[in-house]
Amino acid sequence: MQSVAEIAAHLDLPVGAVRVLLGDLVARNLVRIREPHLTVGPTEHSIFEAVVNGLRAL
Amino acid sequence: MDYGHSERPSDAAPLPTAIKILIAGGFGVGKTTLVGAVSETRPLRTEEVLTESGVGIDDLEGVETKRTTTVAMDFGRITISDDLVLYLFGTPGQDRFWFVWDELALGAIGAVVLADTRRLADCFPSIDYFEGRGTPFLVAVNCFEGARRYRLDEVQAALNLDPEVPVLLCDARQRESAKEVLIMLVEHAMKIRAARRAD
Ligand SMILES: Nc1nc2c(ncn2[C@@H]2O[C@H](COP(=O)(O)OP(=O)(O)OP(=O)(O)O)[C@@H](O)[C@H]2O)c(=O)[nH]1
Ligand SMILES: [Mg+2]
Repeated sequence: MQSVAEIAAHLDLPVGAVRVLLGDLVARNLVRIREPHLTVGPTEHSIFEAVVNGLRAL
Repeated sequence: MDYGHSERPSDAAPLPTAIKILIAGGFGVGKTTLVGAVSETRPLRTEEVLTESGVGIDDLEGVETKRTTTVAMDFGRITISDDLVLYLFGTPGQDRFWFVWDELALGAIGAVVLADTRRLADCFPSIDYFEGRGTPFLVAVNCFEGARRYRLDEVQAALNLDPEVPVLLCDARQRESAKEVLIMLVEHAMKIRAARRAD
């Protein structure tokens, strides 16, 4: 998984251009989009805890 | 466009959860340095070319002027586990790019506002922005050499911060220090979200 910003940096292309390219790839089912989205509730809490523990372990 | 496929690529492998944190603050305060200190890759710079509608002399003739500007953004990544990735985004320093911020802030769990005690007021726009959006944030005072050391409560008072906004000292160049800042932010965001859920 890569973020749009990451792809843009690697390809050395403007974010806007990458977004257009990705849009075409999504339309062809070649790429999936994952929103930085969190579900509310206990899952969210356990994700945050995992982030804290992961950072501590770095 | 619909090509009539119902299957999607690699549906079997679940995508990792992406967590986004913003690193904001005034010009030259150490945003890029902090992203680089904790990121597993060197901070990537992405450039966005923007077309701005300018208000110029041409408007008198009813012709809209357009010019393009480049905004640079820092970007870092920390892989926590196979199914959890933390992304760090340094916000562009220039205040006029608020609309870029809006996009960056979407889905962000929280923000680090970096402050330099020699130019404390530089972080006011960031603080106002996150307060207005209800984005959990903390203030990390980057300790430059030669800067007078302020007590944390002095910084809190000078920035007119809510008492619950965490303020801490950091050294953006040190990985351990940057880690501590991020941990405190995530814990703060957790607390705020729990409180909002309880309301
Ligand atoms: N002494 C000291 N210098 C620092 C510290 N953090 C950053 N610097 C230096 O300050 C300068 C600016 O840091 P950057 O990380 O580029 O700041 P920035 O916020 O990304 O700057 P812009 O993107 O231009 O707004 C660099 O030369 C850093 O090496 C710090 O904690 N202590
Ligand atoms: Mg920078």
